[in-house]
Order: sequence, then C-alpha cells, then structure tokens
Amino acid sequence: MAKTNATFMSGIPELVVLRLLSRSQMYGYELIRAIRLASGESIVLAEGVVYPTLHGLEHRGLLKAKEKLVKGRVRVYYQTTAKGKKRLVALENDWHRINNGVEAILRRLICHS
Amino acid sequence: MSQLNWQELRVGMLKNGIAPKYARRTVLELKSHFAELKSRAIDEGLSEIAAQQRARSEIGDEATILKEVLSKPELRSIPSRFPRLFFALIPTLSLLLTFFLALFLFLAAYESWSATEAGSELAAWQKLPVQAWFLATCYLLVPCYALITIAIAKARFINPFWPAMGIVIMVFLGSSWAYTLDWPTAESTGAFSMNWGYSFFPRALRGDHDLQNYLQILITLAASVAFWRMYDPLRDQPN
Repeated sequence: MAKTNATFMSGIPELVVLRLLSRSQMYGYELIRAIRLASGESIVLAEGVVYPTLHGLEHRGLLKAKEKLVKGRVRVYYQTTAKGKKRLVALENDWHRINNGVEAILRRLICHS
Repeated sequence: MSQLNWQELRVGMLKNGIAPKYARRTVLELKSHFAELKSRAIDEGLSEIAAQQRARSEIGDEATILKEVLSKPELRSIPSRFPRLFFALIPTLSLLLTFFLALFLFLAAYESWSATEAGSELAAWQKLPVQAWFLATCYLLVPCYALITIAIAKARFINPFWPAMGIVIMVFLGSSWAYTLDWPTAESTGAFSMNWGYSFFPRALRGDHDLQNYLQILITLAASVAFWRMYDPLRDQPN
C-alpha cells in the first residue's frame, strides 16, 4: 500500500527547522532570520509561533537546547540531535517523493493542455 | 498596549496544562525575541513607541501564540494529563511507602537497641532520635506531603479537586496510625506497639488516641486550606 502523506504535510516547519539546525546551533530570532534568508523570503513565519515548534521537537528528542547569557539577554540555542538527523533524512526522502509526484502531475497537465 | 502581557500568556499556558518548564521558557524566549525586534527597529530609525508597536506586530499576539502552544499536546505536563494519578494515587502510595520504610528502619534499630540496652535506663540524649522519629512520622510526614502536593498543583494551576482528594486521603491515613513505646528501665526491657484505625464514637472525647486523630485531621486540613489560599506561585514573577 502507498504511504500516506498526512503527517508530512503538517511537517514542513519541522523539516525546515531540523535542516537549518543540523548545520549550526541557533536561537529563535536567528533561526527566523535564517529561514527567511534561506527561502528567499518565501517562507515567513509568525515569529512568536516558532517557539512551540522548537519545544515540541526538543521534547521528542530531535533537538537539544542550551541557555546562554549574551549581552545581558538569555538566549536558548538549539541544535539537531542524532535522532533529529535521522528524522531529517526520513522527512527529506518524503519531501523528494512528494515533490517528484507533484512535478509529474504538473508535467502531465501541461502536456495535455 | 505596545508590549505583550507576558504574565497573562504564562498563566494562560499553565491553566491549559502546559508544563511550567515550557511556559517559563516560552516567555523567556519571546521576551528576548521582542527585545531583538525592538532594537532592530530602533536601529532603523524608529522611535521607541513605534519600535515597540512593530515588534509586537511581528511577534504575534498572545492569542495566536497561545493557540500554537496548545496545539502541541506533548508540551502538557504529566500532572495536568493525569491529575487523579498524580495528586491522589501517587502521594498516597508514596506516603505509605515512606511510612513503612521509616517503620522498618525503626524496628531494625529497635531490635538491635533492645538487645544491647535491655535492663538499663536510657539517657535523655539517647531518647532524642527516637522521639524525633515519632514526631516526624506521626505529625510531620502528612503535612509535608500535603504542602508538596499543593505547591505542585498551584504552580500548574491545577483544578483543586484531585489535589484536595489526595490530601484528604493522606490526612485520614496519616492520622490513623499511632505508636506506644515503653522505654526500657532497670527492671524491664521496654516494649513497642502500633495501632492502626479509627473509632468514630464518643469515646474519642475521653481524650485518648482518637481525639488526637481528630485534632490532627482538623489542623492538617486547616493548614492545607490556608496554604492553598495564601500560596501564589507567580508572586515574585515580574511581568
């Protein structure tokens, strides 16, 4: 039976966050800027809502968090764990599979028209 | 208002069962994020008030953030998910476990002590640890458990029903046990006995152990209610 994609469709923020944090550790504000920059401003998240996503991933052991005091402000730095990296590979595979599927549909529609 | 109401947001999360760890961290991170957004806006030439307003619109309002937090059930605390288990069953079992452990330790010590000290009078300093043990297990164990239960429940804004049930069970259980110890003298080796149970009849008024039970129940329950009303876990939290 073909795999369903329901969980994946709601997992785009998870994929983006895990990918960016697998390269280097970042805190929330920095991460939002990185997402904007890396996506060419095409992904713009409501800034305050990124934290529940980060905490949820941390709770599942996909991220690890570390508090640091920088210039008098407390920053919580996040980084993808080994478990998070495995999850990232699975999400990326799912993404490529769906992306190829959607592209195939679009190509067929273009050929027909 | 140009700043978010951090306290309201935090209380909103706690009342909806979010673990205090995540509620605290969310507010901490949002405050820091807000400050960064405001600094950036000021660097771009905006006034203090305009910078605050822009930071607020970029970060989102309390309702949106709260909705997003509540959409993550994994961030809910165990006590808020299982209040019956956490506030009634676990404290009661822990109380019994602590009590039996204390009793076991006392009996083990009593065995060796009565074997060596039989037939001799004990000095006051030798009686002190035994008296302290009696005081702790009979009068301090339950209030300590009750206060811990209340502190945990209040910090999480838990509905008081299950914590109250747990405390009532513990108070009745805890006041149902009583010991009698006859100290060894030059003539006897002493004796230790334990009673467990209640007699809900007027003989309590004769001033024996039952009256002590009722007083203990009343005092512990009254102290618990007073602590519940007075304890404010957010008192020292700045907005």
